[in-house]
Amino acid sequence: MKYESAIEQIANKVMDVFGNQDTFKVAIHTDAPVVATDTILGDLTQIAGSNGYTTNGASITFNSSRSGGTITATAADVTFTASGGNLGASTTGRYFGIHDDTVASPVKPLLCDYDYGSTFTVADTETMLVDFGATFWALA
Amino acid sequence: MTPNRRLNLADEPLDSEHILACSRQPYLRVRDIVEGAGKGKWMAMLGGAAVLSCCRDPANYDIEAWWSTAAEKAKGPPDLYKFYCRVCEARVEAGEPDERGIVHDGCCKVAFCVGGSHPTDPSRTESRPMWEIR
Repeated sequence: MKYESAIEQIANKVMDVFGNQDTFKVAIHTDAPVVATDTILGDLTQIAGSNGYTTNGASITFNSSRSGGTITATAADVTFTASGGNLGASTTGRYFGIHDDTVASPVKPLLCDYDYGSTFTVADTETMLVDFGATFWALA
Repeated sequence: MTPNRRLNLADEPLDSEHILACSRQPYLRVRDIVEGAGKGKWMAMLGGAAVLSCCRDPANYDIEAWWSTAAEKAKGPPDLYKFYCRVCEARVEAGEPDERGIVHDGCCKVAFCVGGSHPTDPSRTESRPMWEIR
């Protein structure tokens, strides 16, 4: 699902979603996204930065290109592997939020979010792989 | 209060909206289907990220496919694939330590598909494997 504020940040030349200039990251969070009012990463409750999870998440190697009147974005698949305990010391992660880690004002604006459909616990030695497919985002 | 179940990726908690799509099978039995859909990368990535040696051998895995939500089911193919390392599963069930000497609850790995096909380039189609065992 798309965060409503993202379209403003794109139109307002805040988020650069063309090419690979900005760094986008995927963060794991526990609270349900409110797409109408959540605008920055700080509006989300992330799992802790421990046991294989780094606070603010992992880079997705974002890139995008235009074909005709459509811009499509690609991303490299991301793996989170728990080591030394539950990933992020958490048993309540559920959502994966994508944000622009490059932008400083507003700090780390949100782009889109994915619901795993269940709270999850990534126990020690387990891996969560996020597969972005052929493309994960389009603007037309 | 201590839950009477293992908290790991194999667990389906009470709030789960997951819907089983394809029954659990030995990975090697459906490998051609999975890799034919271009998802051979999953085992490579999961094996590459594995902490334990048993989790690097595809022969040790079972695979199961799910939809994350009813809305995803309405779209078609499953979006969530669970990989169970049978060696880890047996060890966890017995409460035995792993090769690091650590007792833990981990036995599962998940590939969660959030992307789709390219909207204008038919050569870049997102395929997700499904199987039916009769």
